Parts: sequence; C-alpha cells; structure tokens
Amino acid sequence: MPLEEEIAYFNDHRDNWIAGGHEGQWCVVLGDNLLGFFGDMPEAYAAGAQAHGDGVSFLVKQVLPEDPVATIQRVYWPLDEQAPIQ
Amino acid sequence: MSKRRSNKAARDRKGKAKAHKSKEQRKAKQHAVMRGPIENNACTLKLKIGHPDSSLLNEFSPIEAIIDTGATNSAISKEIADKLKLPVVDTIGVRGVHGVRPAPVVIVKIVVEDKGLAVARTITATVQDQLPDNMLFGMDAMKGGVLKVDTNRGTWEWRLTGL
Repeated sequence: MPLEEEIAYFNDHRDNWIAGGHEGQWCVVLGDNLLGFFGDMPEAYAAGAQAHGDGVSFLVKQVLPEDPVATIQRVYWPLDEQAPIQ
Repeated sequence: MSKRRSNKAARDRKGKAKAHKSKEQRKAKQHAVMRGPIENNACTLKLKIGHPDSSLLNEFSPIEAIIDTGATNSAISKEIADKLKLPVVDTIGVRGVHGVRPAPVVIVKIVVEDKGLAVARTITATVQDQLPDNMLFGMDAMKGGVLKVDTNRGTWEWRLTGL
C-alpha cells in the first residue's frame, strides 16, 4: 500500500490533532515527520512539494475523525478479484 | 447652480462606475459556464489534465471525462495516472459495485476551457485500473457550481458560481 508509514503516523496522531483544533485542516506527512497543517489541499500539496522536492512521495490528508469512503458505482472489480463486501 | 451641476456630475460618475462594474461582473459570470453534450446517455466533458506542478497549457493532455453525480469522488484510470506521473498522496477506501477496496489517491490539475477562458483547478482523484472511462468527474470536483442537465436537448451546463 502506498504511503503505509505515513498513514500509520497519521492514524497514531489523528486524535491529538483533532483535540488540538486541526480538524478539517490538511496535513503533510513524510515518514514520521509532520510538515504542518494547511487550509486546503492545493496549499498543502504545494508546501509538501516545495519542502520535499520532485519524486518524493508524501501524504496529503484531511484531518477528520474517520476516513471517508468514496462511492464510485461505475468502478467494478473483476469477478475473480472481488473483495468481500464490507 | 454650480453645486447642482457638480452633484449631477458626481451621480453620472457613480452611475458609470456601477455600470462598468456590473458589465465586468456579467462578463465574468458568462465566462464561468462550461457546456457539453450528452453522449451515450452520459455527460461528457472535454478538459485538459496534467501534473499539479504544471503551469503551461502545452504541458496538459486533452482527455474526455464523464460527469458522474453518483460518484462522491473523482477517479482516473491507472494508465493515465501513470502516463502523467501524477503524485500519489493518500490511500482511501472506494466502494464500487462489488464492495470496498483501497485505492491510491493522486493529485491532478485540470483545465477546462470555454470561450477563450481557461479555468484551472487542482483536485484529488482515486486511481482505478477497472475504470471503463479515462476519468470520472465526481461530486468533489463539481463543488462551487450548478449543474443543469437537459435531456431534451442532449446538453449539460455547469455554471461555476463559487469562483
């Protein structure tokens, strides 16, 4: 899974960040380093790209109590690769 | 008399300024409208997409996207995401026809052109290798606008009111 380390760091700190008043803001994480919180996604990405340079993957994620699940009905999985319905 | 004349001149200046402003506002409002056809019962949108760091129009690739009001998030085919080397910034669960699966999230810059005006936006899109289209324009990308679909005329219109 891409950005596994960054997502684990995010999940470990999510509650603290929400308690600290960062709910709804966008964060940038590389490894176990938090670059900061930003007002919107383009701003967060630009800050991350400037700080970490080209070709470096970093996490840009909105701080929310739970991860939203996207619903895209036009996407289908092949019959032999279907995941159990959650 | 001269005071009356000067008051009239002030009123004229104010009126002209107001008329000028509203003309500009009307022009901006007219320009912030995207239109397209309904093809095969789908609202198709011709747009250009590129890497979020791109700034020159010739760095963007033209593609045809489908406007999908049933999709909470936009989606892009893996082939195009790989071709444009779009940066992966997250992984989220995507509920499709057959359940929930994790999918990478990329950042993509889109440019929609209409009557000489280019409107650029930076959005996120989930990467899908089982997508029957190049790109789905989901409700997240439609924010800040009013979408009208005319099935009698076979056209759609997206008025960007939140610019």
